[in-house]
Amino acid sequence: MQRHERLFQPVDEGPAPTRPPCRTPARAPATARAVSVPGRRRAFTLLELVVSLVIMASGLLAIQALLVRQSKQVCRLERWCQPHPTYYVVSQSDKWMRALGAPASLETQAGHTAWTSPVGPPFDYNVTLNSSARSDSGQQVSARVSLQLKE
Amino acid sequence: MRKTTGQRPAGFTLLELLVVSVLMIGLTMMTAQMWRHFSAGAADIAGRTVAAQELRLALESLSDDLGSVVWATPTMTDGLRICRKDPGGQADVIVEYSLSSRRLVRNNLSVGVGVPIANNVSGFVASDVTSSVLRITVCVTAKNMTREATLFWSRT
Repeated sequence: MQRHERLFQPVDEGPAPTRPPCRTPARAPATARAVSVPGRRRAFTLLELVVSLVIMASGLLAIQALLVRQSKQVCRLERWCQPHPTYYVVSQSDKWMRALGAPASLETQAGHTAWTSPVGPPFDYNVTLNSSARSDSGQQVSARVSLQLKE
Repeated sequence: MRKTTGQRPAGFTLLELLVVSVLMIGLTMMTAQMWRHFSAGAADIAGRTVAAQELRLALESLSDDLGSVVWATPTMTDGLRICRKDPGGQADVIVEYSLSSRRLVRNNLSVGVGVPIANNVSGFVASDVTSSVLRITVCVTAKNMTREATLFWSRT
């Protein structure tokens, strides 16, 4: 107990140390806003105004670029998907393509024929005329031919 | 701003606060209007894209089956029944397209398996225009955007 009392006894530190006098004069505030001169209204500096304008302009430019891109995408999408398209389905006529299960082609105009098969080279045939007949008027000729595939 | 006089801290006057509040409200309303227009356009784009995608899936499946078709006929429930060559197989395959709970389902009747082809399908109608021409109409509605395509197929 005596020890505690000794420990918690206020220590006489003597007079408070005095701060050495400042050798430099009082520093001027960095901005004019920090200065409060009686009788004058504080205002923004030109630097603050320019910075705020630059930030606002960059934001507006970003929004404008976004809107322009969006309108372009909408126009492209509208061109891509027509509202009510009509397709004419042309099934495969070639036996190879049918055997391979090729899909039908969707034509936007009627009257298109199916595309030819790219399978195999063009073939040559030996043509033999078996018989022929001419009509009475002589304007039509019918013939019976036989085709034989060249080896 | 109020003048700094003595020990009194500086602050805004009521008039300044009112003016700033009115300007802020105006700017907020303008921004909200612009954002509403922008979000509506974005939602339209999403709907159009989904509808076009589903429609494309349906058309690709139909064209795949109609490529090697043997015969095709509408069913009693506005569906479509197709007999097609089976690639790699000997026997023909019969498939049937029907609409079930906004889904276009392709049922392989030969195997007994049904597969949904496209979602958000609001209409699928196959009908005979003439004795040789078949008309297939597919309508897709996604997010209030509707896309419809019509197919004509000739039996000749």
